[in-house]
Amino acid sequence: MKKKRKKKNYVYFILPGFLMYTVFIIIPIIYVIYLSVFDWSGLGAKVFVGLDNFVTLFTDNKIGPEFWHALLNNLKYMLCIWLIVTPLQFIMAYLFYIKIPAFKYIKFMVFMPYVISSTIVSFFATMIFNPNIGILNDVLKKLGLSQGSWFGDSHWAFAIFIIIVIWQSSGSGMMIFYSNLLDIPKEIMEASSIDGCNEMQRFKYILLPLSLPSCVSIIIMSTIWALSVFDLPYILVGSTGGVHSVLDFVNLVFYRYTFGSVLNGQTNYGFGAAISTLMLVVIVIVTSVQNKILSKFEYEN
Amino acid sequence: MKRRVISIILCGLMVTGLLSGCGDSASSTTTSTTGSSGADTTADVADSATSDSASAESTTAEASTSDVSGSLTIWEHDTAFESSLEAVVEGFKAKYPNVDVEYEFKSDDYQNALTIAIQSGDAPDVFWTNGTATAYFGEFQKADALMDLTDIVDTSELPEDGLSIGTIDGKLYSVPWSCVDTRACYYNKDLFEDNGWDVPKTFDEFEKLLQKEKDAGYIPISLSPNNAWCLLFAFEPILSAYDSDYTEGLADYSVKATDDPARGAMNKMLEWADKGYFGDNYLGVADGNAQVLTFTSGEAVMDIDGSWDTNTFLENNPNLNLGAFQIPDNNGKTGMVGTLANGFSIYKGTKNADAATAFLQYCATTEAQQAWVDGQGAVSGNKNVKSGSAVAEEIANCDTMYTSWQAVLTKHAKDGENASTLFENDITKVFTGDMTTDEFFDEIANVMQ
Amino acid sequence: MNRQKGKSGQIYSLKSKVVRGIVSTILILYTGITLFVLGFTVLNSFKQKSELVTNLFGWPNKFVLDSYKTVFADGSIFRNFGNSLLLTLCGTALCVFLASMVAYGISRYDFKGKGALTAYFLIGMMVPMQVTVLPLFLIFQKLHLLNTLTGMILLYGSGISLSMFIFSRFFKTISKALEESAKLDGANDFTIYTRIILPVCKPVIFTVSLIVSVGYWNDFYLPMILLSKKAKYTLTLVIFNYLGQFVKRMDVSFAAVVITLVPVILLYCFFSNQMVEGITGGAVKG
Repeated sequence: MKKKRKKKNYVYFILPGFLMYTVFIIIPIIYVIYLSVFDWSGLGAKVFVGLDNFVTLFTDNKIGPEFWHALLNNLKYMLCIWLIVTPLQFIMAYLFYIKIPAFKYIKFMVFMPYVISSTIVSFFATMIFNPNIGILNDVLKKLGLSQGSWFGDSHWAFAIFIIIVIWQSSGSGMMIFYSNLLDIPKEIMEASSIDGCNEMQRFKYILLPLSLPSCVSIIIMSTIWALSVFDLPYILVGSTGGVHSVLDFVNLVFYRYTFGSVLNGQTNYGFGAAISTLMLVVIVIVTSVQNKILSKFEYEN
Repeated sequence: MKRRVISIILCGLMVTGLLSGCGDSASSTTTSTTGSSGADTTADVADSATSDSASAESTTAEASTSDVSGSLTIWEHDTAFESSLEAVVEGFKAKYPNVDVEYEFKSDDYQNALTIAIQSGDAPDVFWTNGTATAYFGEFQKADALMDLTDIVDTSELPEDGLSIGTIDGKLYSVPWSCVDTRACYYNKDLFEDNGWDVPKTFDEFEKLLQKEKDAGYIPISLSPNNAWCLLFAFEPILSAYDSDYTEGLADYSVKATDDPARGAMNKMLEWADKGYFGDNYLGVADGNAQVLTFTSGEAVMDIDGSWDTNTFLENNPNLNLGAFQIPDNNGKTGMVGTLANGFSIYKGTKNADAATAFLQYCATTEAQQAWVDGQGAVSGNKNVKSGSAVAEEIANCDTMYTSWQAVLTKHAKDGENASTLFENDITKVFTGDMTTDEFFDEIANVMQ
Repeated sequence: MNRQKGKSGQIYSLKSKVVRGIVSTILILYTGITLFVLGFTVLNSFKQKSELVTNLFGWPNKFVLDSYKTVFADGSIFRNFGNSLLLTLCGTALCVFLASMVAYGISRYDFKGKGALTAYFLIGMMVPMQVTVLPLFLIFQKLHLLNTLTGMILLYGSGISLSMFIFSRFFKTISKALEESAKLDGANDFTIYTRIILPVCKPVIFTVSLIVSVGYWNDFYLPMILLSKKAKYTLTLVIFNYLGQFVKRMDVSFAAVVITLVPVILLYCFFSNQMVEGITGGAVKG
């Protein structure tokens, strides 16, 4: 009797969340997938077009390259997060761990931008990077150095964007790494120093491997994030994706085509839905592949 | 930033209207097209509307203004008109104290938001349009979304030109405003005085002035190449000065929108960009807001912008010594590019026809027209109404009126094509170097008559 | 749970004090950016309007409260603040409640389809809200939830993907022994959950609460679409509208930004202590 009850109890725990989640999160997603096979300007009837939207996305001369260019930007962004932002976060966490001077203050201040919303962040970005009224060019002028157009310059725009991302959101990853480090039992650390490990070795052979779990979490989350970014670029450069489309991401393309009448001068929710559906499939595939690889990695360590 | 931000709000409203429409058509089993869902809603209301308007007429005649009550929702398309609308609503409320007026500003995607609101049957009572200068005005009229105002609003105090913009087939559908919506080259009078510069009398002088301003270390013209409208409002005056005969020909379409003079004017602008006349780093000026700020902060000497922005400049920097002129062509001829402003229409399916009609009737009075013109500091096109500000006088100080190039795109596109949207999406690419002038104009030529 | 106090730097630190000092200095300079940006925003909110255009980055000539007076003028901002507060608090509570239960159900029991269910719950993270805004609107309309704070709270509470993810990874680390002993004492599952597991999770609850509540407080997109009556606007939405008219109302924009930042930063100060010290119990056990 008890065994049976135990087996079923999980239903009670899961059910409420499951219901709410399904209604508000899953059903809208299903609707979007449904929309992707229609041509619908939002007014009037939906016209069933089967896979036409997807075909256009892959083959049209104008739209295809635009979409792939944006997707490439997403991948570029993802790589920046994996290879630049995440290591930075880890190094910062390590520095806090070893308690460099004033680390409490630094920790507090570095995380703070995380609570500032994207609108305000872009407001600040304008104040700093606007070529005419922003302070950066002002300071450069006073120092006699050459000024730039920053977001208007395709060489700089992406880099500045990453800098802003680091400023705003590196705090969270850092915290996760930091707490992970704090969790490492002190016995291991003591044992290693008794064994005569120097700092480099300790870092490489103990701290890094033991930080893998949080690393995995962070990589999974930031991948999903990178593929679905919208807020910050939209507010910084608008739905066009900036000069020479350097900050054009897949979701900006989605926004343009759905709400911005870019496709044949008409809003087209069906086409936008096709873009979203495609991205959903991509993200699901990437995440599950990642999950498999990383779990094996984690397990082996 | 303003435009982008507000476009998000729009997409929100668009969704609002959109899904209520979707919901309605799902529940009723009619195969709804835009026209019929509009008609379904309006069929019932149409009768009551006409009887209401009859009583509305007698209401105004009897001046029993406290009978008119309820709530009134008004949609306007740009916060540049906020002070004007506020003033007019104040005046209206003084006469009709029992009406609860709520107004909202949407811009950029205003057209979408409005279209969808109308489709869904959930449109505001009163909304702005630019009359027949906008393509969708005709469509609204065909879809029976506009109330016929011919007999219910007394328009004797309004200028003929404005009225004709709001008229289709002899019937009046919107009440115009007496402002001339034009463009001008605004300039910083203090900077001119300090440097001994004069308002140029020919196009060559204007170009030389640009070089002088640059040499003095300023940005000659503030411009954001990332916003299609900022580019348009600079392009049109420059075009009229570059080739005034061509610009005159636009009025009756005796010349095409994509003929050589237009291309030449745009190339001229690109030339100026290369010479740094818009600022060396102008590609980083993100939008209209940044463009305005560059001018009001004194970084730039001039800003070629829409005439409705006069008050925006002054509100941003009350200490700015603002002046304006029209760029002359090489014979010294100047002109205003633009049209008489158009205004509010009533949604045929409105639930408060009394208040809506009373409001439009009030708008048609000289009192309201003056308030509107004053609120923008605009140029008046009505002999009974004074121009709204000293700057407005300067703007109006010119020889003639030209048609807007963009209005030509709207009027003469091929059936089913949308040249204006194409321009809106692609003109920024010309200035960032992603598209050549010829590619852009060829593309537009393909969809024009 | 192991509570580790930070050890003194000697055992595992960069050897040279000089290097540590340099690194610290660089980081302190970096934090200067944040200070600068926040600082001059606050300063600008006290400047007179005419001064803003000409003296954007300097010290105010005169400190005035004009901008704040304008923002608070019609008093409706208090209601907006209240709306934001209500949405954030209730939304967070609901989300944490649902997410922890779901995570518990999935990670502490074994049943068929466990993996699939986990994946199901993760899909929510993969689709950004701009995409689902249309059908969401429709659903709200059908359920008569448009323009209601209740609807928003339900919606916020349903976004449990990230929270559930964090909770499940945490639950995996709790030893089963705890539960076993409680069961032997005859407790039913729900009691175990509330009396034993939850208290252990306190640090994670704080973490999740902070992340989630910051997200709700700063969200303007969903309120913009689902709450169209001014009375129901959230504070962030109001601020967003002010920022949209930045040029005409530059003075008000700065005051508005300050007003919206103060609560979040306070929240952050309050939580940051709890969060970091607490998580030590948490994510990984050695």
